[in-house]
Amino acid sequence: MAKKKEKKVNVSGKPKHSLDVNRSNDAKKESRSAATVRRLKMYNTRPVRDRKGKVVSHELQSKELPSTRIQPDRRWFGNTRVVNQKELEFFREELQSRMSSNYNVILKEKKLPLSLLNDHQKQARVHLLDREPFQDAFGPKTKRKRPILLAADYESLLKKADGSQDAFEEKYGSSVSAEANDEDGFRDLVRHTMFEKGQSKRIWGELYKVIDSSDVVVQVLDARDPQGTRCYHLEKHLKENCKHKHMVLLLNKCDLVPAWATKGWLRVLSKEFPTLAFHANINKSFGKGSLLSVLRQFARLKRDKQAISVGFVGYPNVGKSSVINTLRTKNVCKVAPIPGETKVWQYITLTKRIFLIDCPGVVYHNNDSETDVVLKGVVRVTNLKDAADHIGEVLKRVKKEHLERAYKIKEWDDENDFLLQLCKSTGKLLKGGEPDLMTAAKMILHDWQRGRIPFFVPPPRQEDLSEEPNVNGVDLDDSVDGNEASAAMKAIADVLSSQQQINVPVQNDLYSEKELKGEATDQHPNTNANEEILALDSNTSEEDPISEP
Amino acid sequence: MPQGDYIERHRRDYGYRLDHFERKRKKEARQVHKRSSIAQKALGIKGKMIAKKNYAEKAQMKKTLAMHEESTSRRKTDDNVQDGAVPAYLLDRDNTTRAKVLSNTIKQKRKEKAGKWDVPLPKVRPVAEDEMFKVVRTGKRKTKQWKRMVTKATFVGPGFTRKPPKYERFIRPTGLRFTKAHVTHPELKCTFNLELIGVKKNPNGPMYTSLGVITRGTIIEVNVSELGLVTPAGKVVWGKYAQVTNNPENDGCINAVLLV
Repeated sequence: MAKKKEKKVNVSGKPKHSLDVNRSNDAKKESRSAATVRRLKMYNTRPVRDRKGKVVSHELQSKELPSTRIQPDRRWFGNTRVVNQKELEFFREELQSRMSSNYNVILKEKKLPLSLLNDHQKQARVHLLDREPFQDAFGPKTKRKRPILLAADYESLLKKADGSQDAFEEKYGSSVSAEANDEDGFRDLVRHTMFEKGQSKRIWGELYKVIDSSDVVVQVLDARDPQGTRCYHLEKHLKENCKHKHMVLLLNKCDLVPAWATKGWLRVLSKEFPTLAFHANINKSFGKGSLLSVLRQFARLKRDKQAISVGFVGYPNVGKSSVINTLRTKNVCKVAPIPGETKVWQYITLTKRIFLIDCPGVVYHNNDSETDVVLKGVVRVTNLKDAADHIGEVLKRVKKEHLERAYKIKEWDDENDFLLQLCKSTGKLLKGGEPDLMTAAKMILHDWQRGRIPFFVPPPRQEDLSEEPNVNGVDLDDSVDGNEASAAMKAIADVLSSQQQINVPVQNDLYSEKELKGEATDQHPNTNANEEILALDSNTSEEDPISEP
Repeated sequence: MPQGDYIERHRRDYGYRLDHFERKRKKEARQVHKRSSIAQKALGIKGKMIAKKNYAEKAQMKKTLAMHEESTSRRKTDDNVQDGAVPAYLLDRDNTTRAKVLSNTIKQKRKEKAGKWDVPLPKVRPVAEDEMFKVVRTGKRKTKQWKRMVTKATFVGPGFTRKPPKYERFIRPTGLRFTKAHVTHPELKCTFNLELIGVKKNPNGPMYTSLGVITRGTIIEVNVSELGLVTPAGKVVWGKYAQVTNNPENDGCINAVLLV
């Protein structure tokens, strides 16, 4: 549909009202542009009706039939894209050397013959002559054709069958246990539907809508359990089907874990995707400047577009909406310390060129048990009917001194005894002085979800103990790079490197001084500088090198 | 026996009345005046018919008189011999003029020229806007009606990202996006599953071309790397046009014919 220019009744150049389309597109004036005015009038388009209410005309809904004749032209029958052999070799070399890392991007993929660069392995060659050469079938040296059987006699056939059976059992070990389970006559208990939170079709529809609308996908992870709150299926989907979108990992709640654990996880995860640490608090945040800088670099990377959208995806209750509130420095998304507060996708304006998209928490179906699901924070604790069953795992994962400090209980035999003592000390009793185990268990799970009981998964031990910032695939010494895309990615890598050097603040009274130092000493026994750095960790706010906008 | 025959037999047996011929002559002499008065008094369509008949008779009379007049100009009695005349003994022989040969040649060339660059489907059924788009009502009270959902198959390209909701007027559903097409080579008579590069021309209009809508008759650009085509100069061909031959929104796949 062509743009319908309104008739020129006002030729003096001054608009009569704010919705007058005949205005100049002068950039100096701070008034609305013609395109903006046209868009605002588009919002109010409605069908035109006659006196009886029948629709006379509606924009883009006419019944008029267009002309569908295609003119004969010789250009339809020519070649549209050709490529030289030298250019093919050049493209293949460049692609092989650069695309192996996650920090390089192809800006215009449409112009490249990617299918010619990647060799397919679909059509395997049939090795017919290797099995039977010509001289065995034709000519004077003809041999009699002998059928090729799997086994010559019964004994070798039996041996081969046993071998294949053993190989099958080795390959599918879990199936054997499943078969054994079937023989016992038991089946898996049918789960309550509350343990499938984040896996419904509606939630995944929201997720794919967010991914479809995002240029950059920020996956928010819980710093206490980064690998457990990752969505590997989503990462694989982005890598295969949406190569033009970028994935950034964000370690939220980094104030609940020791600084050395945060740095360790940053080093591990930075090998795969750009990773940032974050503490989502409107007044006292960490990593906000780094994240804003990274998003601005992505906006610069896609300067050909008018605006970019950043989607925040991840597990329920990892703090996606809190991150957005922190970036906006006010409450634009509804937040709550329970999972499932965000129900539909929300669109938030950060700057004129950066939009943020909030997404409800998604869970990919895996082999997690009910306790794993509860301890990840997917399920609302108030809805649990058997909350006491999960306390054993909590007691196993949390250290004894933390539980002693949190609940003032010195000794316990098992989880039942612990719950009994907690009921007595807090007064959670039913009629007749009977302890209320359900309420006490829910209290513990609430404390677990909200971070009052300190817990974290330590990062895997590194082979190299170097203190260098580990950002994969970017040459930091390349100072004469004129490419804008390389400059943007290099700036992102610089932000990541600088954040790995900054001291990460940890919440007060959560971990003892000995724990912070001791674990660090175990992690890096050869260096003393770490102890000095970590000694200054407590209660230091982040000195943001980039000023706030 | 007819009645006229009785009168004729009576005249043959007993003769005419004595004043028959006198009355007949007078009646014919008065006929002129009678016809003139009838022509003057006739009105409407009857008058027009009488006038037409009188005019024809008068014209015929003038021509008959002119035939018998002597011509004033002197003319030759022998006509000129025509060009290309042949003697009588050669009349059975067939002959074709050169002009006819040239005329046939030009017509054949025009026909070949018109048909050579025609696409397999030069004209398809048109699709109106109300069939192409569906109104999407948005807002808290569902009164905003400026968004349109495309109900046909689309191609969006590898670097596509949806616009923010306040700026996106045309919504292309994910389930109707295609990346591959079944392309048949008309000479090799074999079919390949090729990737789409772009939508070149939608016969229903340029707006649908820019939106990437694929309907029947659409000219699409496909990736022909698998075919192994090479130009005479030795370059590798990896892009060619094809025309869609089915209705993708009904069949769930795109069938096309390669334009070679």
